[in-house]
Amino acid sequence: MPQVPMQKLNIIAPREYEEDILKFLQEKALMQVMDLEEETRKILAKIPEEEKHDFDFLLAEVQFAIDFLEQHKIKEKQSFLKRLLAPAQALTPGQFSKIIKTFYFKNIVEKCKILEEKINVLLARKTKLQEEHKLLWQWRKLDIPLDQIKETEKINMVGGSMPIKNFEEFRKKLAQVKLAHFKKIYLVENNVNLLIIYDKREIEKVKKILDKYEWQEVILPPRKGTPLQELKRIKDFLAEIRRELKVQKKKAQGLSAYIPKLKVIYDYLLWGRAHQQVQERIGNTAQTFVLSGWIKEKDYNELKERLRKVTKGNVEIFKIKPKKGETIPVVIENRPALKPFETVTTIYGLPLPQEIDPTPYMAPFFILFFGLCLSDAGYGIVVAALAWLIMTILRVPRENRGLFKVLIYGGIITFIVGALLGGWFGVVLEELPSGFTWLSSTLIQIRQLDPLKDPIKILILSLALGIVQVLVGIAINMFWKMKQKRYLEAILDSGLWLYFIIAIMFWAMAKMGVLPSSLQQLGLYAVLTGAGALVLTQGRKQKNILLKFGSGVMSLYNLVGYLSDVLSYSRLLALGLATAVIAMVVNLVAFLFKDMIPVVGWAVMVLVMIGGHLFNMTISGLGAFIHSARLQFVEFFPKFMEGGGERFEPFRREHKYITIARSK
Amino acid sequence: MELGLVYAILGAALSALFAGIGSAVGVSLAGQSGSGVISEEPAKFGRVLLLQALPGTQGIYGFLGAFWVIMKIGLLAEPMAVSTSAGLQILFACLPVALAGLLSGIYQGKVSAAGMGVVAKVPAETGKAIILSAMVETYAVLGLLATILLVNGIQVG
Repeated sequence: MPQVPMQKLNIIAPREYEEDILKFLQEKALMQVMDLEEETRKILAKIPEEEKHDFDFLLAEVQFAIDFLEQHKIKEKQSFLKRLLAPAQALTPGQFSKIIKTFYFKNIVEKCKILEEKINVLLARKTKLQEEHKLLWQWRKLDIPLDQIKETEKINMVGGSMPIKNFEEFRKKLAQVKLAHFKKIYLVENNVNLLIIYDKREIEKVKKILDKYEWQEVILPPRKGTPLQELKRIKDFLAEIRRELKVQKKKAQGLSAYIPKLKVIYDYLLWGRAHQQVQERIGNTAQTFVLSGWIKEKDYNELKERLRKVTKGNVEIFKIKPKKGETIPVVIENRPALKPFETVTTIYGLPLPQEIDPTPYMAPFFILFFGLCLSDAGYGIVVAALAWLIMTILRVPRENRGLFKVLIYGGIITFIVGALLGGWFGVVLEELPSGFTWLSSTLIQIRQLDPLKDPIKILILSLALGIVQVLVGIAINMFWKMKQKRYLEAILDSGLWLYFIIAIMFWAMAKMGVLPSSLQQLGLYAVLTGAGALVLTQGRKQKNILLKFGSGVMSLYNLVGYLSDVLSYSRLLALGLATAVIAMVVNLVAFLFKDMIPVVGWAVMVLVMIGGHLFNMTISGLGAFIHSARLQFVEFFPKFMEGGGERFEPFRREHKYITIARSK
Repeated sequence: MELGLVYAILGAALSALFAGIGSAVGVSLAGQSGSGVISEEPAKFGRVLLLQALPGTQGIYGFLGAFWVIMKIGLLAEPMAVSTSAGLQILFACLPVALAGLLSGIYQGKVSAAGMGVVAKVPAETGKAIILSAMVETYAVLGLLATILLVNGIQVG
């Protein structure tokens, strides 16, 4: 049974054991704790609430410290491979509790905050000075101290720039104004920097001229000396800031030794948050507490025994029946060989509690379709090998291995399918050089079909697989309804359709001459019987006799749906051809390079081949996975399930950064 | 040289061209929303890239269509004599992958771009966003299939 039966429980025990029980539950991750039911809550006493920790805040603080210190830590110059092989931080329970007890993380977080503040202030100052420096550099020819450029009672003095193309005309125009002068300072790109001095009585005229020639006023920094003097001063100041930044960063670097400990604290706080959330769901009386939640039915005995041990027998466990409409959490568990495919199922979502787990039925189709889409034996081996290498070298944790294992299976099936279709890295077997005839003749013998020469046969194969999967889907639906004792629906809906589709196939094959044409008449009768039965039964839920008949006829329209489902499988041919043709093109292009460039042509050819095939393998592999999954999700699953079950989320120790070695 | 060869080459060129444009627009649409996600959480680059790459397949299909024609008329070695009628047939046969690729690439890009929201908010459900985007691609796949079958059935020379 792939769907695991669930059981809801209430646990009641003296309050002194609350801590121990929660600790046990969290460590073993057996139970998803729920809110108490209404009637239980009524009899509870109000207990003054304990002081709550703001775990979200603490977690955010520690996260900040980790991120900040990671930024500043010395990048170790390790080889890529060495880093890959480095084990994840694993602690013994002893090391773990020592860190929890002795490491005062708030200190470090405070220090990080102060350092960050200082660094930010310094950085802001640095940017500001750099901007001033840039501006003053354009004005360095100005030999007047900056604090003298200002408005006085009678005279106005402003700096600014205008496009160089306007300058000549501007000069002529300004010369006509009596009490105005300018001083040309410097050219910057296409602009000229000017200092303009005028009597305030002429302000109207001057403004008009300035506007006309696209004058832009520049506000020079309020500094004392001439630009040159100030530039030097800024430079010195910047050097000082850089020194100071270095000092602060060094301090942060020093603190980065605490990163591992901070990570431990982070995970510990995560547990604390889960613990507190569970505590909020617990009900109390004066002497006891009550806790309600879901477990897997098979865990019941173990849970009972272990809780007795923890509480020295002072515990009462009640099985309770879920209310109507209450959501039951869903767990699917399959045999180890099929387990990886749960990854694919969960992309779609879990089945509802009363539905069947599709994983074991989907797996063979999924993997076969993957093979047909990738369709190259060479790619198959490489995919399987890469997935295996990554999984073992990176020591992917057990619960995340599903995808890799699916790829290993997929690679192996691709190898077989690819060999049957004659796909070997896109090499055209007939054109192998004569030294390889022993190889090509074997490979050609293994090849049963050449998709490039005979795409129609593969198309028929694809559609046939589609019909098979659709039929299997309907059959699962029938079987499942029988199991739930809904015999009428099982036979009249799923059963009839199953018969009808098979009858149509039979008739069509007889008509096309695949089966002896003498069976054609029989097939036609079979089809007509099926259609008649469907018309008569599919409207049985309608009250009105006309509607009964009408919806019966309408139901035949479902045939169009099944037809389009089957046609959708034609993508298997298209994707398979895509892989094969691109692989061929890669080889073709690579050989072009060999002849084009003398001497190094060989090297270029090899590089193009490796790069091209890797590219094709990735793109086609991705497409194979996605489209094979789509066929399951859109064409297969809806035949017998709706999906949307809630995942079972037991109260557990969540890890983000560390792992703890199992205590014995 | 026969005009037929010109038509056939036009067909091949159109299929690579149109489907390529579709992919370029689609990938760019998805990439633009994707960089929004990355600016907040650079660690999600892998998922974002995956979703962005999806509308890129149309370009490959278009290229495939072109290549199928190239093989059909033997352009890589000695071009066959293609009659005007056969050339026109090939040109029309190229249209499914060209146009389905062009439009589905753009629209798939839009679905991918919307899917970036899923990556940002519930990264564990990226798979679902990917499937939604792949739904659009179906029609480019069918277009390619139609082109391949059509070209396959044409008699040249």
